[in-house]
Amino acid sequence: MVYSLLTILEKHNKNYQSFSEELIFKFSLVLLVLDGSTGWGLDIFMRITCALMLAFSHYSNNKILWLIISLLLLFFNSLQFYILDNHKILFVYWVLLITSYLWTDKDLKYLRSNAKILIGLVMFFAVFQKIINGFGSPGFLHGRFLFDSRFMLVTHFIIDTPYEVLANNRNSISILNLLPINNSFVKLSSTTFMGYILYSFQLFGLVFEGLVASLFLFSKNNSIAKDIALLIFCIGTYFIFPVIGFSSILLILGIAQSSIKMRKFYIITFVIIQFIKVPWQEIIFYFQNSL
Amino acid sequence: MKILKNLDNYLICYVLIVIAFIQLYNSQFDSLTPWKGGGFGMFSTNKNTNITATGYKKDGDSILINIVSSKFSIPISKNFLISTKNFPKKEKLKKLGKQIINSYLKPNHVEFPSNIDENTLNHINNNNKFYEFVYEPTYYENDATALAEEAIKIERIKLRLFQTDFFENDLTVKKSFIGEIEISN
Repeated sequence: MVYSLLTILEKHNKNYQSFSEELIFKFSLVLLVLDGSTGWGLDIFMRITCALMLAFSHYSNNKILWLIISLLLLFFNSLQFYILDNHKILFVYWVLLITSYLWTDKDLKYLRSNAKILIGLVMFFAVFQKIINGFGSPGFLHGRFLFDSRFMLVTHFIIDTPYEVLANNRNSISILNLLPINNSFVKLSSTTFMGYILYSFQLFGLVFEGLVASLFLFSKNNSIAKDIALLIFCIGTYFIFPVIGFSSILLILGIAQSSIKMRKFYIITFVIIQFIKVPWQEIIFYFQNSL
Repeated sequence: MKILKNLDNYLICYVLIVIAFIQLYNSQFDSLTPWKGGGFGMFSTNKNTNITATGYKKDGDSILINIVSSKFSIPISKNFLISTKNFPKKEKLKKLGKQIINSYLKPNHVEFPSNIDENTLNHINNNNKFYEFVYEPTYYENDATALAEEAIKIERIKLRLFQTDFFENDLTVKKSFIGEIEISN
């Protein structure tokens, strides 16, 4: 049974046409193993499949296995569509592209040009949503840094507000969420300085995101400027906003669309960006308060 | 012919655009949060939809309910609750209301923080009986253990939707009423 299954699978193995192609497939599998899952279903079926494809690398571009990965992602992610982070949806688009590439007679240019446009579109919609949701006015980052637990320690370091005050802010907001009373509110404490810093950062981020979007949508395939802009964006943004999956998929798409010259920088950044997981805020907090 | 070839080459990109526009429509003209749904609106706003619940017992008394999910997905599953909070459609709210009505509600004490506005604190003090306990949907294996922990059941529930947002000028997180729905047993 297992033997005949392997025979069928082997029939659908393809030989890599270039090192670039091999790199795209293997890095995509690495990403799926590291951060592709959205629950137990994908943890079990997809991650194990991807890990085995990496271990037995002649299966890493197997048409059947990539089709299975696509179907698994579509099935499990559609069950929780309104819960998923957007980068998990981007994973699905990318895996569908790889599968479509394997099952049709398209050349590598298909993956490269689609990867470039995907980055451009994602950044464009991110900027567009920010503009229509009032991101241009002050307040978004200031609010997040006052009640989002991912950034509260940074706030504590910048304005020296006691951490317990920030933790109480969160608690107050969760109590506010319970109350069925119109126009009720909680007052938070911060400084004007903090507001200015974060508004500047907010505007700079918006402009830079717009720059990355336009470079990826309108520049030539071999433009280095777009690659430099994306690499700066990933390093500059994601060490503060620790969304490792989003930065990783952007870098994988970056690897897929870039020239050989720029590819190594994407790979190095992909490795560096994994250090987002280091809980540096907690480490600084620990050393500040325990010594 | 050229259009078909372009569609074939960039089909997935077109799918992304279509889904993003559907998400934009739902987040701008309906109640979907911009953060979810494939429109790439994460980190674009602090606006958030908030669902509150007031339950009504058989004798007409009202109670404050904290809508929380359970580790064991009974009575309310975590995924369903998050999905409903992210996109509170009428059908989902009705289902949520039914789940709360059909479950036992366990009382917990709650302390109200001092940085809530004065009017709200006065309202809480004037309605002390209502705000003394917050009830949470809880799973019990049998009625006896539920009663031992003073868990109760309700006849009907009113779910109210609010929008919360952060305001930079006075450093407040404020909530404003959007709408409500009543569900009976």
